Amino acid sequence: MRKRFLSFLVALSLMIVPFSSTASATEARASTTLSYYNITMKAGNRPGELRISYEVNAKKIADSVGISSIVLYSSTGAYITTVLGSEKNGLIETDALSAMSTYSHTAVPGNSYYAAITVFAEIGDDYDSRKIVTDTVTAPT
Amino acid sequence: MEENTREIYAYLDRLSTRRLEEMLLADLEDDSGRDTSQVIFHILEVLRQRETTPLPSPDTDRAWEEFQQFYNTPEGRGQALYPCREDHAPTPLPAPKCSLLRLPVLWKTLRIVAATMALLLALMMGAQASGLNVFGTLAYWTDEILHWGSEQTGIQSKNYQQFLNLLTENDIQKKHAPSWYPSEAIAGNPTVQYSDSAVSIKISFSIADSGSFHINVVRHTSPSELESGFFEKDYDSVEQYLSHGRTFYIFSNVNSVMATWTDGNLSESIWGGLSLDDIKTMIDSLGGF
Repeated sequence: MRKRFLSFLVALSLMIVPFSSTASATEARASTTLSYYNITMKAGNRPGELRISYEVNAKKIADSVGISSIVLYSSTGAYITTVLGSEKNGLIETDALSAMSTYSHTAVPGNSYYAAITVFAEIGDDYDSRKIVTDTVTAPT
Repeated sequence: MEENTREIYAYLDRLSTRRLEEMLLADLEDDSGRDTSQVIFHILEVLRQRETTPLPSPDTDRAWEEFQQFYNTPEGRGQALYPCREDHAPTPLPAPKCSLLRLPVLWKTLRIVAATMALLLALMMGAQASGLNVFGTLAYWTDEILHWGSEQTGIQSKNYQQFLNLLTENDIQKKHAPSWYPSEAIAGNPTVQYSDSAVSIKISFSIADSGSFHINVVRHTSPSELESGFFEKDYDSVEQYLSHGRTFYIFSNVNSVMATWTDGNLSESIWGGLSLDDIKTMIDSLGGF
């Protein structure tokens, strides 16, 4: 009886610990500069076109806000290319509350890709970023 | 009759051209109503005759003979041909007396002006103290900007009206915009942004001591687009606030409060340096348009 009770307690503790670590992993993160972001990647209308739609909102008017980088991978995980964000390519806005648009990239038609996209906002000396991994998308033929 | 008239005005012929011109000028300035038309007519006639009458050509030979005979003599050597200018300098007119009599009038005027300005300033300050933003109609400022003219406060501000117009232009009803926000907030220029997934209309407000807050109304192409969005929040709990059939989720993100709502096609967020009461009042004001 006593051995069975002790075994039960051990089994119970083994069950609880993983859940508690999982719960801590899902605790909220706060940001000093970022308020909201939404990133999606979809197939475009032209052959090989990948279209990345984004909205990145800062907590207040930011010195700069948007996407700092887009790292493209094949569906197998092979590195393809990196696009750095800038005002010129429209991925970064300066002196703005938000960056929002759709960025078009041409890949190999028929191949599948996913992207690791880093969003950021810089307000004065405060800087914060988050990395979002998109779903896998097949570039149109 | 005509002969008599000529005799009456014959004296005009003896007056110099300058004197006649002075008489004409005096008549222009005379508003006594006297009929001086005859005099003027004859003055003009005399001046006309003088202009048309050719002057006699000078006899240079005779003039040279007279000079040699009467002026170029041993007795006249060393003397000026004509009197020196300083000997015949016109007697200077007496300096006009300082218009001492006008000083009291000037002082009186200045006193009246000063009293009027002091009264106006006192009235303005009194109005300002009673709550009317008199000085705000001259200029207003925050930590970041100074602007001439009236403050853009309240939902009637030009920028907020433009925000409402942008909503309707993008097929979003005005009822999704708050019909109240803190009166001390100054609305900035609204913006509209597009992506393949959505259209977003945003407006930011500045408040002198508490910073800023923002409103974002988004129309999504499909409800699934919302599933890829993330709000940053801190450890504090999320409050669900029900108002006019909308459930807003209110939470904090490091000294910033966020309230957000969606029905799948539309989403709305209000965030920034607002108190919980103010953000709830803004939420309650939805549907006021």
